[in-house]
Amino acid sequence: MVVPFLREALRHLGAYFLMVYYSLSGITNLKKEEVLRQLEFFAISSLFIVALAASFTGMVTSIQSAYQIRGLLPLDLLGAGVGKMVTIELGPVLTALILAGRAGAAIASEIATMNVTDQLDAMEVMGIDPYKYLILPRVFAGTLVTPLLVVFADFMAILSSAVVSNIVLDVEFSAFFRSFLDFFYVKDFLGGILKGLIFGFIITTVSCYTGTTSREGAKGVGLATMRAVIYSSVFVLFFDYIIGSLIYG
Amino acid sequence: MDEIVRVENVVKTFLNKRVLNSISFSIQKGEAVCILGKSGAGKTVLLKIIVGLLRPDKGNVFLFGRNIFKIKREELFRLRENIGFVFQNSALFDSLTVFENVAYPFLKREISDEEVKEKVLEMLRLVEMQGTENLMPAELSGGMKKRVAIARALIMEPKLVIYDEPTAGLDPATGRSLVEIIKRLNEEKKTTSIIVTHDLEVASTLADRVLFLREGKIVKEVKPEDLKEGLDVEIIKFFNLREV
Repeated sequence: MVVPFLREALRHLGAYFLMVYYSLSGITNLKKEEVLRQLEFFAISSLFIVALAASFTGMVTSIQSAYQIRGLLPLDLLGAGVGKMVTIELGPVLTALILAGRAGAAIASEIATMNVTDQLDAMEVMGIDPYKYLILPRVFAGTLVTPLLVVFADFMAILSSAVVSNIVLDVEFSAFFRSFLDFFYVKDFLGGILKGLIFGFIITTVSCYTGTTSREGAKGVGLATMRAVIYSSVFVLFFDYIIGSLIYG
Repeated sequence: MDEIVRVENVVKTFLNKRVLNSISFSIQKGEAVCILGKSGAGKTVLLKIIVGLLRPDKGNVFLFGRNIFKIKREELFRLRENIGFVFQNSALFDSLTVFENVAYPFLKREISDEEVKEKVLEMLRLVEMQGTENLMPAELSGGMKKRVAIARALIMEPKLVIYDEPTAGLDPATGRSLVEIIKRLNEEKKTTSIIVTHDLEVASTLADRVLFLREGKIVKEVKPEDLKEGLDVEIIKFFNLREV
């Protein structure tokens, strides 16, 4: 039971790294038009949902942080607490989980459909490497866009937190942002960006992998999409712990 | 004559079922060879092995004199640029228009847009699909998809064209017109071709040589004239073939 499972897991791991290697080996011949198309897809398709999720997260973080620190610390320090939480953890992880559900699922279902309808084979037979012409642009665009979306999510969450702190908790904007800036470290911000880069890479490569390894039929496409979202999310959380431990541990 | 394809003792097994059992044959330049067999005989698997999409458990495949399982991946992709493959289900890119599908093989080539346009329109004319450039594959019938797939396979003027069940799923009239198009293009372009089918009529019209595939083995090789003269009753019965 355990041995076949491990063998299968290792086979997938090997195939995944082979896919990454073959894809990245085409980096010098990257098709700009395809990368731009993918950048547009990632950014535009996820911008609204990232803004929405980040705003609500910022708002609830204010309320719940105030609940936790009331009587222990002045509420003027909310800006510092929310700022750290958002830039270090919530911004990158939330953005990544949204991207896994939105862009990751879209990539996996598209590639899985191409796979089960022989479109990937058709590319190969034409002498066109799907890893380089289909997967690499998606991986490149996703890795590039995710940190930018993280910055955008950070901005939206902190802004919405400041507004709620002001309206609901009577914390002055100046006090909120003063405490935010007093405790702002570039390392925190850059750590979030780094997480974004790595999460973007994980989501796109995992989604492409589940797509290319899908089995026949509509059910196979559905399974590939589901696996893309689940595996991406799990790996994001796993690497969040690893990166967090290395940078802030 | 130059040898284009050589298949040597190819064996392939799926889940303990031997699909191909020591298959060997070769195809010379300019030949049109038809592989005939019942559904599930392993015809598509054989084609996928010939172009390196599947790896056999044993045996070798030589394309244009190169053993495709002993060359680098990049080299295999370069070799495949000389092949046109018409898939059973057409395998058109469903997010691209007919024009973009036919032009797709030029993706890697440094060639002007004007030249691409000229070649694509000419190819669409040859397969009698002019005026459909802006349609999406979902807007095409099965026969039209096959024609676009043929245009895409032939646009680079490949040395070898492979047709996997070119008439499968088409009504007899559409199938016949498609066979006529393939025959005309084969004669015009003088390409080497492999046609996989279960239809005797297709085989007798298109092939110079017909190989019968049964239980993973080539069991008989005939000339198309032999098919027209009448095939062994045993073979017809065994393959459930439609007589010419």
